[in-house]
Amino acid sequence: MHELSAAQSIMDAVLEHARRNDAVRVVRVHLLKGGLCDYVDETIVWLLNMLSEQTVACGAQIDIAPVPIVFQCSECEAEFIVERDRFEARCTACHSSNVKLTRGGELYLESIEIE
Amino acid sequence: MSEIKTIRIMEKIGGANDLIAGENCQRLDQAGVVMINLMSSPGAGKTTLLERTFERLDSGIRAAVIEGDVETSHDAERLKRFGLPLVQVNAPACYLSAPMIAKALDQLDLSGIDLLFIENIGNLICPASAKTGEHHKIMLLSVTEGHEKPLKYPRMFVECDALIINKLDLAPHTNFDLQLAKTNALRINPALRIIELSATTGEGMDGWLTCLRDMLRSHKPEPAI
Repeated sequence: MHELSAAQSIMDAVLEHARRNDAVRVVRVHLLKGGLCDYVDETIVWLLNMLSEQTVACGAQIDIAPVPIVFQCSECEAEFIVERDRFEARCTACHSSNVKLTRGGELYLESIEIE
Repeated sequence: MSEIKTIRIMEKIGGANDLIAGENCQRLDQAGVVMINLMSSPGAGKTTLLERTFERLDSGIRAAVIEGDVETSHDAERLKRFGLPLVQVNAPACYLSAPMIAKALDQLDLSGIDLLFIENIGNLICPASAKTGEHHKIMLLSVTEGHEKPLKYPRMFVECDALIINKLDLAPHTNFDLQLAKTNALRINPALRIIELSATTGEGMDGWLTCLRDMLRSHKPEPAI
C-alpha cells in the first residue's frame, strides 16, 4: 500500500504549515492528483483521517482534485492532454512522437484552510 | 467564531525522496557507476535475466546488485554464485525508496563497480513513481502477463527507457500478441527501446547486452573494455 508513505508525507507537511501559521484547527486539505498517479482516493482520505487523530488536523475535510496528463511536444512545443484510457503520447498538432510529460505525474499538497 | 485562512503550499509529495535520489545519483556519477533500476511484476523473470546477464557480461564490466525483497533472500541466494558485490534490502514495502538505496550504497565499494543493478520489488505500480537515483529505469514484461499491460499500467511505461519482453519461448503457448504489445508500449512511450528475449533459453540476450553497453557508454567518457 504505497498510499501510506504518501499520506504520511502529506500529514507531516500539513502539520508543519499549520504550526508555522499558528493554526488551532485545520478545516480543509486540498490535494492535486495527476492522472498518472496510481493512488486510490478513498485510501488516501482514510489514512489521512487516521493519521490526523489527536492533531490540529483532526476532522479536516480532504479534497482531491484531478490534474490532467499533459505532454509537451519537443518539436513544435504544443501542449496536449492525454486521456488515460486512450493513451497516445503523440503530438496532436504535428504528430511528432518526440514528446515529454509535463503535468499529471505527481501528487501535490496545494493548500490548507486553517482557523 | 474564528476566521478561516487559506495557506497556499504547492508542495510535491515525495519531494524528500527525490532529493535523496538526486544525492544518490551524484554519488554514483562521482564514482563512475551506472545504476539500472529493474522493475516488473512478480515472476516476470528479473532474477533469471540477471543470472543470464552475469554469465555473459563482458569480463571488463564490473557489476553489482542491490536485491530488493519483501522478506526473504531467495533471489539473493541465486545470485551469490557469481561472487559479485550484492546487498540484500528487505523492505516491508512495495518498492525500494531512495533512502533505502542510499543505505545500500553505503555498503558497497563504488570505486570497484561499473554497472549496478537494482532488482526492485515485484510490482507494476509502486516502484514506477519512486526515484532511486538510477540512470535508467528498465521494465520487464513477460509474455504470460498479456499484451495489454502497457495500457493498464501507463505510469510504469512512461518512466522507463527500455522494455524487455521476456519468456519469448513461452509465446506459442499463450495468446500473447507481440506486435500489439509493442504497439501498446510505444503508444505510452514512443522513445522506449524494446528488447525481446528469453532469459531461460538465452535467445535475444545479445540485444540486451548491447543495450547495457550502450547505457554504460552514454554515461562514461571511456567505455569499459
